Amino acid sequence: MGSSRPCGVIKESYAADMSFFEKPFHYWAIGLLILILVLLPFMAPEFYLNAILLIAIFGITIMGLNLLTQAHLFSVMHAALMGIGAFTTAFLSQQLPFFLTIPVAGLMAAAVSVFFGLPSLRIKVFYLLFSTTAAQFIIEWILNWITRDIPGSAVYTAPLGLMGYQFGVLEQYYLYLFITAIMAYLIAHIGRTPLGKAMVMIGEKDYAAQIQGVDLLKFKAIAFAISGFYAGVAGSMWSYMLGLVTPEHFPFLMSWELLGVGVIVGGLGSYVWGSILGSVMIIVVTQVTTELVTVLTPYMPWLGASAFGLRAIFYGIIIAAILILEPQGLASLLRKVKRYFDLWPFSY
Amino acid sequence: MVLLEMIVMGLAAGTIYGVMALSFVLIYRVGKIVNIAVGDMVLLGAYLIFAFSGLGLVEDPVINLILGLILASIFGLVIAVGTERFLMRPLYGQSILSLIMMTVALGMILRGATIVKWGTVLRVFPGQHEVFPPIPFTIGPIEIPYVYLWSITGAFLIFGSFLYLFRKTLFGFAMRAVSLDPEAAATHGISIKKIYTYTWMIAYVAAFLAGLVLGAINGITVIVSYLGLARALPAALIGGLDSPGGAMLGGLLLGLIEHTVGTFLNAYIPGIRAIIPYIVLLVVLIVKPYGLFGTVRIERV
Repeated sequence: MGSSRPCGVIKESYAADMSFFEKPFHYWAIGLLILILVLLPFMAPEFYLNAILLIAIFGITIMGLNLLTQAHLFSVMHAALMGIGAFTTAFLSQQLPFFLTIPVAGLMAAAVSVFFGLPSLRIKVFYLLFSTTAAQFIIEWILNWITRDIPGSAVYTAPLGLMGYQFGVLEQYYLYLFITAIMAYLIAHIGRTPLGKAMVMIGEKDYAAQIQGVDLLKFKAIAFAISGFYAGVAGSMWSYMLGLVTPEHFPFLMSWELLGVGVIVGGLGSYVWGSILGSVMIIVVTQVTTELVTVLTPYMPWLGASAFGLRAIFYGIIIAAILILEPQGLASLLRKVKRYFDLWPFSY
Repeated sequence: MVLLEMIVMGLAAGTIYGVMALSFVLIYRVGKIVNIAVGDMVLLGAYLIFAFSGLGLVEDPVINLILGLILASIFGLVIAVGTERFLMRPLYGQSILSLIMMTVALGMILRGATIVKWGTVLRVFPGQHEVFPPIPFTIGPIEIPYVYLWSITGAFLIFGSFLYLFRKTLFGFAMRAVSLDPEAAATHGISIKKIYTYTWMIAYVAAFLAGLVLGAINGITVIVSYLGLARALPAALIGGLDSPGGAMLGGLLLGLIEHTVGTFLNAYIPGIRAIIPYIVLLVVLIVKPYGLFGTVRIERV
């Protein structure tokens, strides 16, 4: 938005230059998307609804992570932060309604995120990967420690409901859609505020950003807080969706999936569409692998136990392919399509 | 006496952490690549040694295992060429994030391949009980398990030969030149591609040796990959990321801390020993981010 506009795109007024939707087409596209998502429960089987909810959940986490990665603050603790959100929700859900537990879960994860993110003032770039790796394992260990007396470490979440009314699949779907829409709207606007610009500057070179007047402590802390909040909210939604949480739901590998497949394959710096595309990629690969293994197992019996491994191979190949072929991620494909139509019929 | 035994155990375990850290540090020093896949290389090594020694080419279990290690290492050379050629070479000169994510992709592929090939069942090396007897080896009053003898010998061999190679030979000289300034080295007729490939080869062989020891201690499962990563990162960081000697020292220190402080704390908070390496990692990062012997990066705008 606004950062690099291809040749041939002309804005005639300041309002047009600053507008959130650049073209009438965008209104149509968003309207159509919302219409499809709203009408989907009446057309598609429940399987697809679940997949969409998962895409929404991972998408929200990746939006936060994308913001953080834009500032070159690499974090691989986001699965653990989701876990914190999920466990906070699970413990609180018996007493509090969902509209309180979800923000509280977000704030809790934000606090933890800032705590483990503060060393980022002193340590740079990939050193942060190490510290967040440590954070991921330490948080995982703490979650295991908290639940050590509970059999199976599984904490049950009260089902979604309001004033004694239990939410069904449909209500849950619309609620999640609503939350995702709000989160996406907020993150899209963050990219346009001084905060978003500061993120880009810090990502380029944080010393230079400091000289330009960016308060590193403040902005890095805010970035970690926002990112943690997003992960916490997503974890909370996850917790309500599954009905129970265990520390094993949020392994180290998931953090890498979020960063690698979610942010890099999706598109770094494209907060909404990149994140959603990355999330779609994660869910689609998971589902396709599961299907593939179920189909192939009768012919190749040794494949049965290894859906997990096959998925890792696919993720690896996808990340490698994207890095070599399209380093800007899938979102840049969208950008290319847009550019093609912007310049049509003289696309050169 | 318990303390002495813990110290000896820690140092013995530290040698293998040092070997893993060497694998990590070498890639970082020469190619400026943060190799997140080091744990998965260790895992692959453990499985390959398991597979090759499972062929049973020789009667004697000890020689069989050593032969397995050698065959696995030869296989590792091929994988190293593949890694360098197809994954890393397209990305030279790109941002640090791309290089890191490529090693992540490498790690995912390696780990996934081992899971698909060998499943998630716990396995042990063939002849495990003859090669590594359950009765510990005694030197005077100290008892240490046989695995650590292997670890010490292997670490000594690989570290000694590596240091000789790195410090004394023309090849090591070329390697250091590339690590200092790849472009200047290239103008002096050093093939950067070859140096990078050889670096990956040494890294793979070191990781495979670590795989033998870690696999013998813990049994061969996916867990080995996390154990490897968890030990290699702090050990490399303590010594400073770009110093091979520091890697060994870092490994020894980490082993020492894990086996003394960790065991001590474990009596009060059960299970905390598992995350001691990560706590060490955090402390080192906050107190001395460039480690003991690392090059301090001076940033200019």
